[in-house]
Amino acid sequence: MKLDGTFTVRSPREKAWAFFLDPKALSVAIDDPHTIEVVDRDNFKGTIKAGVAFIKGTFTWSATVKERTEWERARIQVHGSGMGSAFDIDSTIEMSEAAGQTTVRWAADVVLNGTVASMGARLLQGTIDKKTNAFFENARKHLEGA
Amino acid sequence: MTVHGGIGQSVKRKEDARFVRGQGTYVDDIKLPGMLYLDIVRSPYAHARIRYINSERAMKVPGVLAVITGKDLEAAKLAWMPTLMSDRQMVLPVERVMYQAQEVAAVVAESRYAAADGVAAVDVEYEPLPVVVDPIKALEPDAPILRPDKNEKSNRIWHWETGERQATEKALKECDVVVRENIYIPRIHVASIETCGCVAQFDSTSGKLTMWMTTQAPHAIRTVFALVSGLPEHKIRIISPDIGGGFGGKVPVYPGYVLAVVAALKTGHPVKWIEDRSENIQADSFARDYHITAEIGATKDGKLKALRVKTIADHGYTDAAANPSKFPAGLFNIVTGSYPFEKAFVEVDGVYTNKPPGGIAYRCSFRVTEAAFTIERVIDVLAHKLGMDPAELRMKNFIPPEAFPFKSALGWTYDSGNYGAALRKAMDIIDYEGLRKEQAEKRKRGELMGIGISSFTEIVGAGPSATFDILGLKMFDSCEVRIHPTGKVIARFGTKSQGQGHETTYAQILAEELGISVDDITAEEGDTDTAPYGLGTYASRSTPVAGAAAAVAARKIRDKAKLIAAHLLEVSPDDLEWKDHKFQVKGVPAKAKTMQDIAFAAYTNHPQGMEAGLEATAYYDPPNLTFPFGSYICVVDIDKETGEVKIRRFVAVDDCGTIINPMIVEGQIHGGLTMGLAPALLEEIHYDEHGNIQGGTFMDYLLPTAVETPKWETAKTTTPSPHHPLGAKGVGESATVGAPAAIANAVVDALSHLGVTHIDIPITPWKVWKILNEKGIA
Repeated sequence: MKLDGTFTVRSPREKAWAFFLDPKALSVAIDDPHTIEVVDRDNFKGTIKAGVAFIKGTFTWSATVKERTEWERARIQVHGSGMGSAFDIDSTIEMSEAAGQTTVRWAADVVLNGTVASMGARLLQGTIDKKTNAFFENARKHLEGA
Repeated sequence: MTVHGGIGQSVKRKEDARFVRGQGTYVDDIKLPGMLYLDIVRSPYAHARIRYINSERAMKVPGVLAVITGKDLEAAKLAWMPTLMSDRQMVLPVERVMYQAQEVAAVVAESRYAAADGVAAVDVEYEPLPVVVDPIKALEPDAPILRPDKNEKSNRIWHWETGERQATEKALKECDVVVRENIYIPRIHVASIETCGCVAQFDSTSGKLTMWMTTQAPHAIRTVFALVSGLPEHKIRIISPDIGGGFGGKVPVYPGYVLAVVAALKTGHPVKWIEDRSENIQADSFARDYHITAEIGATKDGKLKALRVKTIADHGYTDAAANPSKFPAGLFNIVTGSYPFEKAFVEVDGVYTNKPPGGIAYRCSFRVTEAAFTIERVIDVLAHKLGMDPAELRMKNFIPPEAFPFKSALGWTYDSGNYGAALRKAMDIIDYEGLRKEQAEKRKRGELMGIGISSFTEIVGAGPSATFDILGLKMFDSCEVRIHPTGKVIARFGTKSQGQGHETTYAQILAEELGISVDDITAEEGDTDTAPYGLGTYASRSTPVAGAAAAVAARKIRDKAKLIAAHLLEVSPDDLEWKDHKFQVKGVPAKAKTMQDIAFAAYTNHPQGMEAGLEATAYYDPPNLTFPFGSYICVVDIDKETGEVKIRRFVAVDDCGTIINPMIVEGQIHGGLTMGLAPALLEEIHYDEHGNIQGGTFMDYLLPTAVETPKWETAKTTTPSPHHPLGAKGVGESATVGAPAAIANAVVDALSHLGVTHIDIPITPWKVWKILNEKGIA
C-alpha cells in the first residue's frame, strides 16, 4: 500500500527536522499506547498497542534510519510484528522551508501481512487515514504550540 | 405388503432424535480426565524464511507445558507427511512457510486460554520471500520456484489430458460456429458449521492411540496414520463421532491432527485441538480455483460437434486434493455433460502457488461442479451466438434415452439418462414459454429479467477398483450386518455421515431387503475398531457404494435364511420364494416364515451342519460409476440502480435413480441448491498481492442465510441405474453441481441483449452495476 501526503507547519525546518527524527519527541504525536527505546542514533525499537477495528493488540517494532541528509531528506524503515500479523514500512520525508513555514512531503510503502491485513482489510484504509491525520495534527500542535 | 420404513418411504430421520434435542456428540464434546489443549502459531506471511522460533516467553505463560516446532518434528521424521495425492505437506515448517496462516508451532497447555496466551508469546522472526498468488504468473519462466523439492524448473505440478487433441482441433476448424469463453471459478471454502478438530489419547500401557476426530474417512486416515507414525494399525483407533458438516473439507489430514498426536505422546495426557472459525476458513483445504478456457464448435443450425477445454488448476503450495490417484484433475472430464460431442479434448495443469492447499471437492464428486458449470455456461454462450433459445439448443443435442449406456468422447460410460424428460418437466412447471413472453415485454419497458437453464450430468459413486483408488486403497465400501435372535439388526459401514442421514437411509435399504421394520435396525459407522474397512463418505458415494454393499450383504443373509426357512417349513429351498418380505412356499402363501422367525431359528433351531447365526459382510466394488442428472431453471430480476440480483423462482428437477427416502433426498437437494447459490452470487476467497487472504471471516466470506435463499421448487424424474443393486445413483451433491450455472445463465440472459456473454462468479451487485454503468443504464 503506497501512501503519501504533504504537511505544512508554521515552524522552522530545523525544529521540524529535530521533531521527526527524534523518536522521543515524536512520541507525543502518537495516540496509541506505546514505548520507545533508543538503541543508537539510527536505530529505535519499542511496542505499540494498535489495530484495526476489533483486531487490536500489542506489536513490537524496530526502526532504522537508512538515509539521512540533514534538514532535507530521510528514509526510515520500520518492521513490526504481533497479533499474528507483521508490518513493514519504508518511508521517506523531505522538508523545505518558505515564509517561516516548513513543508514536509512524506511517502510510505506499507506492507501488511497476517490477521490485520486479512481480517481488517475492508477497514484498513479508513483506519490508516484516521491515524495519519491524528499523527500530523498532534505534530502540528506540538510544533506550533511549543 | 410393504415393510415399515422400506425403500421409497419418507420416514423421519433416526438421527434427528438426538440432533434436535442438542444431544449429538461432536469432537468438542469429548472431555477426558487430565486433558490438555493445543493451539497453533500461524504465519502472517504467505512466503517467508523462518530465521528463528523462540519459545522462552511462551513457556513462562502460566499453564503452558510445551511448545512444539518443526525442528522437534524433524528429529522424529514427522516434519512432513504425505498428502492424499502423493505430494507431501508440512506438519510444521523447518525452513520456510508457504502460505499465510500456515502452522508454524504448537503450544500445549492446561487450558484453551493458556494455550492461546502461549501462542501470542511465541516469537518468530521471518525473512519475507517473493509471493506468487496467481497460478498463471506462477507458470511464467521467471517466477520464483516454490517447491524445488518437487520440481526445480517450474511451478507446474502435473499436466493431465484426455481425449483426442488433433482430432478435436480439426473438428473445431470444420465447424460453422465456434465460441470460446474464459471462465474463472474462484477459490471457495466449505465453511462447515463445525470446524476441524480432534482429541488424541495415547495409552502407554496398551500402546494404543485413540483419536476422536472430524473425519469423513476414518479407515483411510487410520492407515495413513499407521504408515506415517510407524504405530501398528491395530493399535490405532479412529472414532469419528457426529460431524457438523464435511462437504469434502474433512477428508484431508491436517497438521493439527498430527500435532495433537505428537503432543499426546510427548505429554502423556490426552490432547484436544479444535480450530477456531478463522483458522478453519484461512488454513484448511479449499475448493475450485480453476482458470478455464472452453471452446464449443457446432453447425450453424446448432448441432454440437466438438469441445476443447484448457484449465489451470491452482492447488496452493501442495497438491493435497482428495482425488482418486489416477485422476489428478478429478472427474473434470465429465465436462462433455449431457451432450454427445463427437470429438473432445481436455487438458489441465496443476500449479503451485503461495496459498493453502486447494482442490478438495466441496460437495461435488471431484471437480464435477467445475465441469458442469463450464459446459452449461458455454452452451448458453453458443445459444446466444446462434440466436437460438437455450432450451431449444439443449433439447436438440441431448444424448437420447435410447443411446444409454452411452460412451462419451472423453471416455466415461454413462449408465442411464433421460435428459429431455427432466428439462421438459422443469419447463412445464415454471411455464418457460410464458416466462420468455414476459421477458420480451419487460425488455421493451427496460426491465431486466433473465431465465437460466442448467441441464447437468453428475458422475458419482467412486468407484470401480480397476481405476479408482486413493493412495492405493481401492474405492470399494462395506457393510456388515448381524441379525440378533429376536430379529433386531445391527449394521456397520465403512462410510461416515456428516449429516446426510445414513442411519436412516441404510436402515431403510436393509428393511426393504430383509423385511424387518426400520425401527428394528441400527446402522453404525465411524469407529475403526468396530466397522468394516471402507473409504468413507464424499463424492456422493455412500448410497451408490455402501448402500449397494448393504443390499448385497442383506441378500447374502437371505440366501442363508432361505435354507433355514426350508428347514423350518420342511420343504426344499427350491420350493420357496421371497415374496412380500418373507419366504413363502410357492403357491401356498399361508406357509411362510418371516426374517424374525428365521433369525430366532438361526440361534435355536438351525439345520444340522449349518453354522449358527445370521450375519454377512459385503465389500462392494461398483462395476461403474453412476450418473445422476437434472434440469434446473432459474428466473432472476435485476435492480438496475443497484445491480442486485433477485432469484424470483428456481425449479429443480432431479433424477437420482431409485430414491430410498424422498424426504431425505429433498432435504439434500434444498441444502445443495443453497450451496450452489452461494458461489454463484456470494462466495469467493481472494488473496491480495502479498498473499493475505481477503475472505477469512464470515464478515467477508458471505454464506447465504435464509434472507438470501429463495423458495426452492423441487420435482423429480426416476431413471434407475441399471448396474446398481437398487437402481440408486446418489444425490448429495447434484444440486450444488447444477445450481451455479442456472443462476449465472439467468443473470447473463438478463443482460444478453446488452452484449454481455459472460460474468465470472460470484456475480455480486458491484459487478452487475459496473456493467450496467458501462452500458449507460445504471
